[in-house]
Amino acid sequence: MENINFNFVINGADIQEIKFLSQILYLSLLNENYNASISIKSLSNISNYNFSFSLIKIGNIHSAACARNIDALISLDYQSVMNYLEFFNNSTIVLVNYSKFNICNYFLSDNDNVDKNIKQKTANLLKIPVEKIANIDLMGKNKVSPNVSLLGALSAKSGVIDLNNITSALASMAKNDAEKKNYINALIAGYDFANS
Amino acid sequence: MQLFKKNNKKDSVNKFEKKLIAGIEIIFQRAKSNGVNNLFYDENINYLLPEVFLDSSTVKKYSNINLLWFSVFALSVARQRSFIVCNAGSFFSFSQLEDIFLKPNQFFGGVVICLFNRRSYNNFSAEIEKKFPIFNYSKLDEFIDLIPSKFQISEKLKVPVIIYLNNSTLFEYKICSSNNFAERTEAKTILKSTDNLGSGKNQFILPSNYEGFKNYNNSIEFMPNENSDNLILCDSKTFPSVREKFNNDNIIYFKLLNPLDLEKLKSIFDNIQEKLFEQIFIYDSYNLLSKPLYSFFKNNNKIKFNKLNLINNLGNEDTDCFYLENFIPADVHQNPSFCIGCNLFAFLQKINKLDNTDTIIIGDTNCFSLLSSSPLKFSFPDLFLIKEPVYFISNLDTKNLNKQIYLIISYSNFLNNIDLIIDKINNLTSKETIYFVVYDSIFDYSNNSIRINYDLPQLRNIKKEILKNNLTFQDLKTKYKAELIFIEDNCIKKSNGTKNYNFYKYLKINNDICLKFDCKLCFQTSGCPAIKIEETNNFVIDPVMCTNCKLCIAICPHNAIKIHKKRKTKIKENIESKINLKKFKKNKIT
Repeated sequence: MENINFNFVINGADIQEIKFLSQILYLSLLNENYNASISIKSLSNISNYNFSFSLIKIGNIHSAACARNIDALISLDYQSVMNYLEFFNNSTIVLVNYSKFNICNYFLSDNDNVDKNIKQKTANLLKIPVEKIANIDLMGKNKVSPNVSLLGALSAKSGVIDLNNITSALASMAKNDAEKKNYINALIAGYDFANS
Repeated sequence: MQLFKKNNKKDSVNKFEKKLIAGIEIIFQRAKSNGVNNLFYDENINYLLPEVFLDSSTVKKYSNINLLWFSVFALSVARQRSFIVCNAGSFFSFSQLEDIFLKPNQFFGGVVICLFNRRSYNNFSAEIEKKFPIFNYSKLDEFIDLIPSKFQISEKLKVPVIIYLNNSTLFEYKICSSNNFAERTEAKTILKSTDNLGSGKNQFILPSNYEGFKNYNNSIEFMPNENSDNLILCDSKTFPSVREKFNNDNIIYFKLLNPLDLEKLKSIFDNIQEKLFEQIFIYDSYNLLSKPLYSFFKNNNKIKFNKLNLINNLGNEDTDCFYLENFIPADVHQNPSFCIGCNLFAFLQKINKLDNTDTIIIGDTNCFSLLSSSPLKFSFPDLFLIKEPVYFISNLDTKNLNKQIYLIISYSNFLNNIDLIIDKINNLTSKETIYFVVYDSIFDYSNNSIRINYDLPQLRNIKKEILKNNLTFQDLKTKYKAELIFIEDNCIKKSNGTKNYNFYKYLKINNDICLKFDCKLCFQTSGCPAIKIEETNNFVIDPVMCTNCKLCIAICPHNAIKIHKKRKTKIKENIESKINLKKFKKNKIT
């Protein structure tokens, strides 16, 4: 097992979605032969807005303070990225679901202002319109969460994980062959969007 | 003849001893004859009372004043009259006075409070005189025939009626056979003679500290003493004990009901010559003034001191006393949450639909702030909001009610007060019904470290069962004797359980109406995570997260949100399907 300093953070309002994504990431990191560890936290209703996060680290987690330097951030909402601005480097990868936005009074001003603030810190901001890329209507009866395409974009941007390991982890989660096919389609769509 | 005369003499002596009744007993008797069964008196008044034996079965004594007011409120909800005798200082030092008595839709009146003070008439602050009807009397004769009319007034106005009495009415004695009052001085002599025989104490000398209780318009009173080096700030509750201890010091005395006048405080310190105080004590029994006072002394450069001590009067001084280095001003008022929880909302609606007039719903204020601050309040008019509903229910007697009571408590509040609940469950008879509705509020995650020893076997395994299974109302009703209902109101968790990408119904917001009115109530008050914004600033409800609780529909005043059904997309019948190619191919091969 290898040890590198690399911290992932998944952020959003939907706990189940975060659990699901972090599970896949963890399994794929184990397939990659890394020594990985997870901590998931559900935060309470702060400033009229529910958000929670999971921290995935290659190596052991002693406390939440070890995530001072975030290397990659996946967030299901756009404006709540502002919470993590202090912990960004020049090279942090920020992948955002840019189809619908959660409402929070504290941050809610403009998406343009959020753009400015993030781009002062990092150059690697990728706004992915997830629901457009992974067409839910084409999935048929066995529909699948489109946020999987964020993981595909992560494998394209960071050289830590391969696509093969993620697909093998996803295939273990799927119930049917149809779901498996939908997962992989969504994943590859994200991968292509990041490369183009 | 002789025998008759002897008996007559004995009887007259016995009658004279028996029928000499103290004023307070007369008041209670008259109230009871008017059909008031709930009689209370405050323990703080005990040192004023003459030696009177009050039946504990009819008249209840209360040491904790908070409990007394909760129980009075509980009885008024149950439409029962109650009569209270109380010390004036302890009444106005009650911190939740306005929360309980000054809510017109929740308080039904039928409460008369007798306050005792040394002077019969006092100038109240104008705010109190506007809110409460107040009557001043100095003698028993003036008011004792008017007691039933006072009850009628309080039931009309739905506000407690305050009768302000002189202390001397406690010591007025009365012989029952004749309507004339025995004068106070005569009564004094009789009791003095009995006292001197038994114990040397003389009860009729008032304690000297009592002079401080003056409810003038001023919120602050300053009693200077130039010789001392200490300065003491105190409440009305702690004032008598402070006067005993620190007779020679400077004392500043606050009335709690009025807000703190910082300008007046400044003017006091401007008048004093500059000097260095050795110690400043702040006696604050409810932790209400500690934060502004602390900031006042810290920011003011004129006042110099060596030590600042803050003392809560709840326990002993040594344990609760902490010094400036350790002192961090705590948040006095907790912010209420904005979410009532979608499942709880559905549950409330289900009860409301039954339309039983015999149901009473009582709930926490912490999680129901949404109900009181939105158009939702019209849909639940019979809901009583109290800060501490468990105390409320522990005082409620359901024997005479024959009503169903739903008590809605947050999860942490349930665990903290589980002893009270168990007592209540044990004392319930078979006919009485109280439903304990417990919900898992979003704010309770920080209190996970609570540990309890469950005494009842009924409640022993409840916590495990809640965490394992989502138990419903009907499951638990069959299992336990006590009617317990558990609701997981954590809407995020619940939304995941019903997470369907293949949804059939969904809610849609009409954005044309939303842009006109620009109210934004649906997400500002509820804080629902399912409501989102698109890039074009249109509001959208995410059908995957949505639980179909319809809370947003109830909130929206403009009927902008409606239910839609998803149409099944039919594949157009092609020519190929009509022709039935397979058969054609098969025929061809064969």
